[in-house]
Amino acid sequence: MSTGVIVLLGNVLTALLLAPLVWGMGGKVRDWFEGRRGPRVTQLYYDIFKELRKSANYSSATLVFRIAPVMGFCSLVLAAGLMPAGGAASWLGFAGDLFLLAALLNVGRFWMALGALDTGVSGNAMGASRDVYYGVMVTPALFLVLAVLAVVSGGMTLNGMFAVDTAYRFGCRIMVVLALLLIYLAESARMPFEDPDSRYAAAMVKQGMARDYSGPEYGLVLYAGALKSWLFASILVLAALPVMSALPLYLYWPALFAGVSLVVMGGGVLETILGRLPMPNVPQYLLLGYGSALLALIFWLYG
Amino acid sequence: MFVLIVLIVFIIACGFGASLKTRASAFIGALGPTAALAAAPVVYGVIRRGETLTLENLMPFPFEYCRFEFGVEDAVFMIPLLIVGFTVALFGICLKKPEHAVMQPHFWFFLNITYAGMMILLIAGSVTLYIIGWEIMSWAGFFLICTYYKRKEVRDAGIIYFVTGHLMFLLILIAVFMFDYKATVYPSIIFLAVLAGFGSRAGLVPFHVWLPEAQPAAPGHVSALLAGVMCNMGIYLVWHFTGIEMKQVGIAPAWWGYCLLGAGAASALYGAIMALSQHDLRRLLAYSVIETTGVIFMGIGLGYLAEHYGYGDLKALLFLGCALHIINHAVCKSLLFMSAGVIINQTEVSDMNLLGGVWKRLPVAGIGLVLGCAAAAGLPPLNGFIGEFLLFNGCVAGLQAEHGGIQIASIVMLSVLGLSSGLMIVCFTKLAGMTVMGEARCKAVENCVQSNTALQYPLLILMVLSVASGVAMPFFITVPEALWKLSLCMALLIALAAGLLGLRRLLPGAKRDIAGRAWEGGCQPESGRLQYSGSSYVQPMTSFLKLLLRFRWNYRQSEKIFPEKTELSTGEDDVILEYVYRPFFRLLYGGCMKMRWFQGGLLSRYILYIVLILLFLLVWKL
Repeated sequence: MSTGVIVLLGNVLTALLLAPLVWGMGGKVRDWFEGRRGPRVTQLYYDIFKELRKSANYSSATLVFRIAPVMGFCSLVLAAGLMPAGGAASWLGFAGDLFLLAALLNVGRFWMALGALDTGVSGNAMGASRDVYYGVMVTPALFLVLAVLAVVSGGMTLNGMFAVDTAYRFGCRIMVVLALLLIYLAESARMPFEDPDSRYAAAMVKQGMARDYSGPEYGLVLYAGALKSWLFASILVLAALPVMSALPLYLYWPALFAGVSLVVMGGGVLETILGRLPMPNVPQYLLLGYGSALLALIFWLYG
Repeated sequence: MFVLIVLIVFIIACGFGASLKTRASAFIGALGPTAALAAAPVVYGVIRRGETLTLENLMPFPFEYCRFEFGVEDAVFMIPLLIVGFTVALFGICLKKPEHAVMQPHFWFFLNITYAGMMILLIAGSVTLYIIGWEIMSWAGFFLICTYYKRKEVRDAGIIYFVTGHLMFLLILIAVFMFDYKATVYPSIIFLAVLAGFGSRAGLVPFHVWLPEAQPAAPGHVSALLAGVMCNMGIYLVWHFTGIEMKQVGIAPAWWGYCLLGAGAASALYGAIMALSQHDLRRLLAYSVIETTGVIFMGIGLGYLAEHYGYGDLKALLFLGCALHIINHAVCKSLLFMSAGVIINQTEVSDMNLLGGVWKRLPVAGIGLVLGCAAAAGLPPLNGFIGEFLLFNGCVAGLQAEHGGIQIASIVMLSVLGLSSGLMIVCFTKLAGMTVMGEARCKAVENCVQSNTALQYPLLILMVLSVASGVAMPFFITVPEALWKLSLCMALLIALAAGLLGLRRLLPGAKRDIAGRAWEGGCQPESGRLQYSGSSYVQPMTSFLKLLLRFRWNYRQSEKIFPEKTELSTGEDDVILEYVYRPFFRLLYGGCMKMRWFQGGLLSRYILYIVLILLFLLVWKL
C-alpha cells in the first residue's frame, strides 16, 4: 500500500475513533474546574451508540431533514481524508486541496441549516439563522488563513502548507494561530460563542439546529460535532507546530492526538473563565479572526 | 461555420413560422432552440482543437466587409446558450396556463429572435454585426420580459429595462464607432464605455438596476434565459472587446485590470448583501446573479493584471476559472429560476414570507430548488464549486507572484470571494429553507396541487447536468490534474453519502421510524405563519449591515384607545435605483418638460428652425 493510501486511511480512522474521546476530555476538564463529577470521558461513544439503535421521529419533515446530517458527516470524513500526515500527502491530495477542505467544512452548515428549517419550528430556525450568521464571519477568515499558510509555503497543497521547512516569521505565526483559534472556538460551538451545556433554547446555536433530530440522525449530528472540533483543532496544531510533519507516521498520530487533546482541553479551560458573548458582540470577535489572518498576510508580505 | 449560419437562419424562420397563429406554433417555436443543439459538435470541436473558424467577404456591409468568427472564447459562451435555450424551449412547451396561451405565437417569435440575436453575437467578427446582434437580442428580450404585459408592474419593469438598455446603448455606439474609426486613439474612453455599456447587461453595479426589476416581471423560463444567457452575453462582450482593445493598444494600462477588479468586487458584495434582504423569490435570485457577475469580473480583472505584468500561467488559470464559473452558474441559475417559475406558476405566490412546504406539494420543483441552491452557493459536490475553486487558486497564485499590485488585488479578491461565499450560503439557505422546507405560510400554498407534471422534465435535465458537470467534467474537456482529483473527491462525497443513507436502512431502529409531531420546544404552532420568516432569518445580518442597507420599516400604529388592526411591513430598496437613477430621471424629465415649447406642432415653425440653422451654417462658414 502506498504512503498516500495509508495517510488517507490513518487520518480517517484516527478522526473517527478518537474524536468523541477528545470531545469528552474537553468536557471533563470543564467539569473538573467547576468542581463536579460530570459524565465519563467516553460518554459520547455511548450516546452515539445509543442513538444509532433507536428509531427516529421525522415529524412532518422532508428528505432533506434526513440527508442533512449525512451530508454534514460525510463532508467531514472526506475533509479528514484530505489532511496530510507526517509530511506525506494523502492519496486524495492535489494542488489546491486546501480550498476543497475549506469548502467541505462549509457543506455541513448549508445542509444543517436547511434541515433545521425543515420541521418549521421557530427555535430551530433561530439556531440556523445564527449559525449561518457566524458562518458569514468565519468563512472569509478561514479562506484567508489557509491562503496565508499556502502563500508562506510557496505551494498550493495542504501537505506543503504544514511542512517543517516553512520558516515563517514569528509575528505571522502568532497571527495565524490566533485566527485559527477563534475559528476553532466558533466552529466547534465552544464557549465565547455558544454554551455547549445550555438547555435554554434562546441561547442555542448549533444545538438549536439539532433540536428536532432523534435516533440515528441525532447520533450523526453529535458525531459530526466531535469530528468538526477534531478537524479544526488538528489544523490549529499543524499550523502552530510544523515539527509535526517531520514525525514518522507511527509517531505522528499519537502526537496529533496529544496536540488535539491539549487544544480541546485548553478550550475547556477557556470555557470556565469566559462567559457567553452577547449576540451583538459576536461579529466583532469573529472579525478579529479575519483581521488577524489579514495581519499575518501583511506580516509575511511586507514584514 | 456554415452550420452555424444555417442554424441562425433556421431559427429566425422558426420564429416567423411560430408567429403565424396556428395550432402548431408552439412546436415550431420550440423547434428553433432544439435544432440549435446541432451546433454542439461544432462547439465541441472548436474547444477540443482550440481553433478559430472564420468566414469573410460573404457580403458587403456598411463600414467594412461582413466577417464571421467563431473561436474558443465564443464556443465557451455558446455552451450555456445551447443548454439553457433548449430547456427554456422545453419549459415553454410544457406550460399550460391559459394566460400564457394568449401570448404564445408572439412569445415564440420573440424567443427565437432573441436566440438568433445571441447566436449572431457569438459568431460575429465585425463591429456592425455585433451591433446588429446586440440590438436584436435587446429588443426581442424586451418583448419577452413583457410577456404578461397586462400587469402594470410588468410594464414598469419593461420600461426600466428598455430605458437603461438604451442609455447604455448610447455608450456602446460611442465605443463601437470609435473602435471602428481608430481603436488606438482614445483607448481608455472606449474601455470605460464598453465596461459600462455591455456591463449593464451583465448586471455590473451600478448599471444593474434593470435586472432585479425585469427578473420578477418575466415568466420563469424567460428569467432563466435572462440570467443564464443574456447576462453572460454582457460578460462576453466586455471580455471580448477589452481583449481586442488590449491587443490593438499593445500594452494595456494596468488600471484597466484594477478597474475591472474593483467593479467586480463592488458587484459581488452589493449583489450578495442585497440578495440577503429580498422577500421576492426571483428578486433574490436576480441579486445573486449580480454577485456571480461580480465574481467573474474580478477573475477577468485579475487575469488582465497578470497578463500586464507578465504572469501568463496565472492568467490562464483565472480565465479557465471564469469560463467554468460562467458555464456552471448558467446551468444552476437557470435551474433555480425555472424551479422558482414552476413554484410561482402553480402557487401564484412569489413572496418567500408566504411560501413554505413546497417540497411536499411540488416535489420536483422543490428538489430542483434545493439542488440549485447547493450548487449556486458554491458547495461541493455540485458544479458551482469548480469555477470558484479555480478562482481561489488563482488568488493564492496571485499572492505568490512577486508583484505588489497583483498581491493587493489578490487579497481583495480573496476576501471578497470568502465573504460573498459566506453570504451566499445565507441567501440560498434562506431561499430554499423558506420556500421549500417547513409548512405552508398561506392558504394559496397550502391548497396548491401539482397540476402540470410535464414541467418537471426541463428541471430534471438541469438537475442531472448540475450534478454531472461537477463529477464528470474531466471526461469532456482536458483539465489540469487538480481538477481531475477534485471531481474524484466530489464523486466520493456523493458515494459516501449515498452509502451511508443506504446503511441507515439496515439499522435495528429503522423499521420503527415514525412521522410524529416534532418536539417544537413544547409549544404547538397552530399556523404556518408562526414559523420563522425569511426576514427574521436574516435579521441578525441585516441589522449588522444597517449602515449599507436602506431598510424600509412601515409600522402603522393605532392612535385610538382600543387596539385595532395594525400593519407592519419591511422591505429593502435598491439604494442605487432609489438614490441615483430615480432623481436623475426626475431631473431629466423636468428638463425635458421645460423644452416642450420648442416643439410647437406648427409646420411653419419647423421651417423657421431649418432656415435659422441654414443661416447659422452660412454665417459660420463665412
